[in-house]
This record gives sequence, C-alpha cells and structure tokens, in this order.
Amino acid sequence: MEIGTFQKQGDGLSQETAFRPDFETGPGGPLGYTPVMWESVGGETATTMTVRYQTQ
Amino acid sequence: MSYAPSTFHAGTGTAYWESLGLLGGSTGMAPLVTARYTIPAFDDSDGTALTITDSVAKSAVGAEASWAGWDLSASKTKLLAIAYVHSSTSNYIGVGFNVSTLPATTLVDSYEATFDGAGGHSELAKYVSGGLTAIQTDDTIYQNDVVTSAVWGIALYVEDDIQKVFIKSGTANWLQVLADTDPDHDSFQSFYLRHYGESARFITPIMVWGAA
Repeated sequence: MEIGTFQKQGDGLSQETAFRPDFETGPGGPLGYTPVMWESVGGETATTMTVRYQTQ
Repeated sequence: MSYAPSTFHAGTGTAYWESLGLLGGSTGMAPLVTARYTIPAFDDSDGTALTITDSVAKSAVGAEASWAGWDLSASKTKLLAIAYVHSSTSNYIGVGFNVSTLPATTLVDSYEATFDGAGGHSELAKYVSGGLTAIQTDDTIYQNDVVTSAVWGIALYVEDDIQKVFIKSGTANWLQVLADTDPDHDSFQSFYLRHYGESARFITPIMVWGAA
C-alpha cells in the first residue's frame, strides 16, 4: 500500500459522479490505472484527496 | 431435521458484533430498528418507491437515486445497522446513517455503505452539504447488479471518527471489508436504505442498534 495525493474528479451530485480521486488523468502524478482498493487518509481539500492505495 | 425459528436470528450476526465489542457489554447499544420478520412502514422516502410485503421491501423499476428510512428516537453517536439486499439491476444498494432526521428529498450529510455493482466495487461514501464523496472502495469483493446475484448482507458501523463496513455472502460469517476514520460527521438521527430502483430488494433481518 502506498499513499498519494490526487486531483478530485466528479461533481458530487450522484453515486455515478461522486467525488473520488482521479488516478488516471490530469495533473498530480496520476497512476495510469485505478487501484483495486483505496481509502481516504484525510487531508482532503476542495480539489484533492490523499489516499492509501494498493499498487498494481 | 427440526425447524428452529430462533436460530434465524443468527442472521443478525449478534454474536459476531459482540465478539468485536460493537454490541453488548458496556457498549450501551440498544435496538432502534428491529425488522426481524416483517419490515415496518418507512417514515419517509425519496425516488423510486419500495413496496413492503412482509419480509421484503422491493423497489419499482424506475431507475433513479432513491432512499427510504426511519428516524431514530434521538441523536445517536454510535450506530450499527445490518440489512440483507439483492440489487437485481439496481446500480447500487446499501444502507446509511443521516446526520439529521430524514431529509425532504436528496441526502445532505451522511455516511453510507453500498455494493456499487455499476461501479464494480464495495464503497464507503459520505454526503457533506449535499455533495457525495467516495472515501473508500474495494474492487475485490461486492454484490454485482445482476438478477442472478445471491442475497448478501451489508452492515455499517459508525462512531466518532470511525466508519466500518461489513458484508456477508452465503453461509460465510460477516467480514469487514472497509474502514475509515473520516471526521466529518459524529452524530446521527436517521437510518436509510439506499438504492437505485430497478427492482432492488431489502430483506429481513434489518436491524439498527445505537447509543447516545
């Protein structure tokens, strides 16, 4: 498991578009894949989420 | 083999929750919703309606974000809920605790645990001021949103800065799949069943325990 900070994606208006980390695109060191498991570890801002995730 | 209806209560997982220290002992947890064999009428709902027939609350086919629930007797700082669910083709299905009494329409401030079949994971999420944020997901175990899925159990435990999600599949015991320490909400006044219509079913036992 590693910890990283990622840009948020989504608009928070529905389950399908809930705010969640953008692991695949945009700035902030995207992984290029979505981890099978991840969890918020706090430090959330209006634009970013810091998460612990399982590496591929 | 004889029929022993009392053993049906094993489905609530009481012994398991007690073994984890979430129920019993000095926890102060008392039953708040006790749908053991039949589901009581909901206090309120929004979206696609659930129709209760004895042990099952089944949604109509309309596909939209929906909930139905009950107000609790007072604000609680510690809560455990369990429900058995069948998504059918509902994009997601689960349970949640709402900070205030049940809202007029959409959810505003809450924690919820769902099987997000459409998204392909089990999920712990929170509403804050009407915005929904996923705070944890696990793609490795979840109930899929297909009609042939078995009925699974889902449970959510919350207390100050602690959220835990448990699931149950088949005859296996309950198992924890998600846990977080989100600080946003620390007391709750209502409980809701979460779904997206599309013939989703909630099945007894549906239980909520809580403590002030």
